[in-house]
Amino acid sequence: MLTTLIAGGLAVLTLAQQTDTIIPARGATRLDLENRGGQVIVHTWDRDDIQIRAEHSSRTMVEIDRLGNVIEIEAEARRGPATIVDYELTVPRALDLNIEGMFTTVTIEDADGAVEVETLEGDINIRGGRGSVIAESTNGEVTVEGAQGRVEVSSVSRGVRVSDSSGEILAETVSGPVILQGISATSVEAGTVSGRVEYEGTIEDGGRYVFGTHAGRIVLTLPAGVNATVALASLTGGIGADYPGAPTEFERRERTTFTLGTGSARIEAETFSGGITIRRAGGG
Amino acid sequence: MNGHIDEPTLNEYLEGALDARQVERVDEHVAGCEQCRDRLGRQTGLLAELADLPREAEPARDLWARISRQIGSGAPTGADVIPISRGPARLRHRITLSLGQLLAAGVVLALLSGAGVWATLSRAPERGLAVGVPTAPETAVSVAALNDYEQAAFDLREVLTRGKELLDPATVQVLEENLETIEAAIAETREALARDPASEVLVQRLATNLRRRLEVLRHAASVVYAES
Repeated sequence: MLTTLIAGGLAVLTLAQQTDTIIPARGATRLDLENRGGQVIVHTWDRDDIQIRAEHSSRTMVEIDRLGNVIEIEAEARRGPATIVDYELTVPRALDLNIEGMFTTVTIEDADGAVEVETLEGDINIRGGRGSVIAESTNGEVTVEGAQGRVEVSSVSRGVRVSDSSGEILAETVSGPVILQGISATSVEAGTVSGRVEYEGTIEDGGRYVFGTHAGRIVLTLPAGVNATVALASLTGGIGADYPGAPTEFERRERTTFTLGTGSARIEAETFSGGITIRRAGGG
Repeated sequence: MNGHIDEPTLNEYLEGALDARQVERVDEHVAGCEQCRDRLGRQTGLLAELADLPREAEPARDLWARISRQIGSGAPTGADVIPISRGPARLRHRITLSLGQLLAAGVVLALLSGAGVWATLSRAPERGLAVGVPTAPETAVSVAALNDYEQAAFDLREVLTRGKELLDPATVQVLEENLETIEAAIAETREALARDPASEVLVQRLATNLRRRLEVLRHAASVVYAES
């Protein structure tokens, strides 16, 4: 049963033009926010409070509810056209965030909890996130920086980027590049249909790293001392390697496999039309 | 008017909530301020997109007939509940099917169908999902998997076709353009596979592209569901 808190400053707010309030989090573990149009910016702090600032028309009502340990925020238009609301929130750093939007851009800074963002039209930028970080935009670029844990980023029509993150990475799009930089992961899957794939990060012993594109180039920049079995396939493009222990010349054939070090990890890279390059980090 | 138009005033202006004097002041400012004119243009476009989104759509009779067959004799009466544990966040809720939610029911069924085929396709490379390679002993399984896939893709595409009027035209365009990109990749891979039917790499690429198409179709169907 939905509980609407009225006491303590937590209420259904009907304010003209702007909502600006601070509510106590009181042990809340997750914040759910739905926004039809506009932007959502989330900052974090060390206080156990949630600051909610929202710019909207006077005909729009920002509802703040609590269901158990979940704070829910949603705007409703009393009548007239659908609502545009620009939110700026400041939340406890470890609070889990679940944000859904239609025509919404989302920016999250310095999160330390699980993050899940889904929007139809609009870019997503996330800095931080721990445990599970999921970001999906149909028509928007998705960027995640400094996440730890299971990281899943996807778009349909734009590129996806993950940097300085660790754990398990899944990054996909249809039209656009997949760029992974500063990655320390035991499992990576990165794929696009039309666009390039770039990976710069560690290769952990026993890990699995799969990169694929139909039309685009794959560039893997690896640190020294990798232990991996490498399988590369490019149907119509060339393969080149500038990495100690890797072949310097590749015959044109179905799939080229070679071993680096003990061969413990598995690296697969496939492209239909586009080249594949492996190079050593710092090697220029 | 000092400075630029603030956001609330701009919203009030767009909604017609300002009095005549305020409207006149905004008009005067916008006429001489390129920055506010651009902001107004963007907001106007966004509001037009939002306002144009239809709120209801009639499901096609043939879709309902197919849904009815799939549901069987226990047709929903408004209280059937299907728990969804996978898929986009919007579908991670318990979904109640009713006679008034036929389109949504079609989406759920198609999504469930697609999920099963997805699991099969995920194993495809090891099981020899090679169209035009009829010699492997697991071919029967592979062909069945492909048929299931094609049916699931057809169902999901049907949901998008029937439900696209619920969506913003720009969103539909993005989805269809990217589906075309995937279709082109599939066609190119199939052609190459026809020339080199033993290519394991091509089989892998075909399976990957088929999976990606199914994923985008499932995503599109979930968006239709969210708007239905």
